[in-house]
Amino acid sequence: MRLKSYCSGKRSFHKFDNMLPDSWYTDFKAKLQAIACHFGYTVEEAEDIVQQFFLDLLQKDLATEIRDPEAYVVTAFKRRLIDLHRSQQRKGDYRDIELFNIPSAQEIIERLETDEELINHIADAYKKLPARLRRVIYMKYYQGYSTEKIVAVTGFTHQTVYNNLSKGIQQLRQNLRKEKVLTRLAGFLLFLFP
Amino acid sequence: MAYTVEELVVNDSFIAFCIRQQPEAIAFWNDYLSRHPEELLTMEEARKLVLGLRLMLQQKQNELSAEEDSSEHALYVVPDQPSPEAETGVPHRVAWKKWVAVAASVTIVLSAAYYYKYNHLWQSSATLSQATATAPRSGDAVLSQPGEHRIMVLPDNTKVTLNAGSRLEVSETFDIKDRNVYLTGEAFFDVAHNKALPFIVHVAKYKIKAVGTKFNVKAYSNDRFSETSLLEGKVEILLPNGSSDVVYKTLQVNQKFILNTADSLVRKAPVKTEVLPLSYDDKHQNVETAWVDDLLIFEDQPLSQIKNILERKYRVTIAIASDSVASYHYTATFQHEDIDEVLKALQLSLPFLYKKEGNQITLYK
Repeated sequence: MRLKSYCSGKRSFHKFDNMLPDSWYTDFKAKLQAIACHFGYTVEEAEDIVQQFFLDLLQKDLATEIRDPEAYVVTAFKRRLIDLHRSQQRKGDYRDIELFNIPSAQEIIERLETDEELINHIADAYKKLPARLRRVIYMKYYQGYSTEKIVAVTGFTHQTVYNNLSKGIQQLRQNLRKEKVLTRLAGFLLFLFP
Repeated sequence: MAYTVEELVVNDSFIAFCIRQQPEAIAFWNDYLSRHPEELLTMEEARKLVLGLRLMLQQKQNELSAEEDSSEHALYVVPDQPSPEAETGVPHRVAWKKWVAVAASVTIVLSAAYYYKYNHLWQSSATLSQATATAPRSGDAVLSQPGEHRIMVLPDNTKVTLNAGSRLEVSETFDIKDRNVYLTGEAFFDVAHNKALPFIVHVAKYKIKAVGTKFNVKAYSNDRFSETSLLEGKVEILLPNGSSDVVYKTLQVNQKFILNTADSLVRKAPVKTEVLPLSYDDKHQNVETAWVDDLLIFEDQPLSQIKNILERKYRVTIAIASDSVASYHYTATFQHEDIDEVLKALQLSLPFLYKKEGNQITLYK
């Protein structure tokens, strides 16, 4: 039904390249579909909704500069889902969609950059790790080494490096959960670590 | 297949996706999410962890320099440095000079010899410049590449020097229930004393049991012989006997156990073993452990055996196109020579030709 109009409309998608960057569609399509699926739509329905969403977005005048496209698209899409929820009289509370918090990469980074306490909590969780786990985590996330490079630098086998990284991340998550309870900073940490 | 949070966070391609670095990684993970929309929250948590860790480590840079006096809370842990004893690895030797000599054991001795003053009590500078230190824990495995030595200190304080092209695995229950290590290749062990937990090296066809001692084990899978050489203390050689092991021999200092692996593999013959005294050259350098000091010593060895040693040390592949050249025997010592210098020196004694293309070397008559 509606899919037909999406297909015909899709051809006009590129006419608006100057207004809606192509990359938005390729970059965010999968995420928006997954969000739709999260709220109970089938994969096919989610694809249709996302197609129509981008077609409608093409018609909009996006002349003003959008600083954080990911956040913009996700927020607009949540609004679309709420509209659909109401119009289709779907079960459940539409406010669940409203409250669904899925920050963009930029929002995560900005939050981290401005929230010293949050950084300290991650640092505390990291400091509790055994030295050998901290070492490989440091190499990967500070020095930017690939696992292969860590293997070459340390002399450990690939399996050992992989195990140490996995254990490190596992323990870090546990430590962060403990931090959350102990410090009662649920608001901050929920934002980062649901 | 769906990934867990941990699997995603440590995945290099996923990290590239999180920091928008590689178009192919971005395309891959978008496609993954299209196929697995139910993984959205897992991916989001993983992304937050990747970005959070990166930013935290960047922001806490000033704490990363906690090196020498790094406490257990330091953000970064300096790779464990070996103690001076671990670096040298071998018991006391007198100061000695570097010399290079090549001799054909068959007939003539020495065509050329070079003599350089060598100031260090321990030859170590070259070895250390190539060696990298590491500190494996229980369950870890360490690998050394061709041309590389690895110096390590195990959790029980045993010092191990791993020769080129070798692998050492530490048991999961090391220093708790046992002190088992599994070796392929060659390593020099300076075992920390612990009577309650014997230190056992597992190699392909036998085991070496020690309490506190210094010994060298050579067990490369492509060598004809496997050897265990004892420099200090006592070790037991354990041979398999059904489901258990029997003590074949308790080695005394300056003895080595040799197992002829080729015979048993090819002909399915019983394992051939013998015990011989260790070899020393005329400078009192122990031949079996000379590699620890970055020395290459051949004692009446055929070129077919020397080939394997050179391949590991110089990261080359050597083919010997002539059977008669392969059977040439050499007695020689080298130190700090590159592969061309070694081959040229060998040519002086018993002539052969060689051609080198990249890392491929062919010897012929």
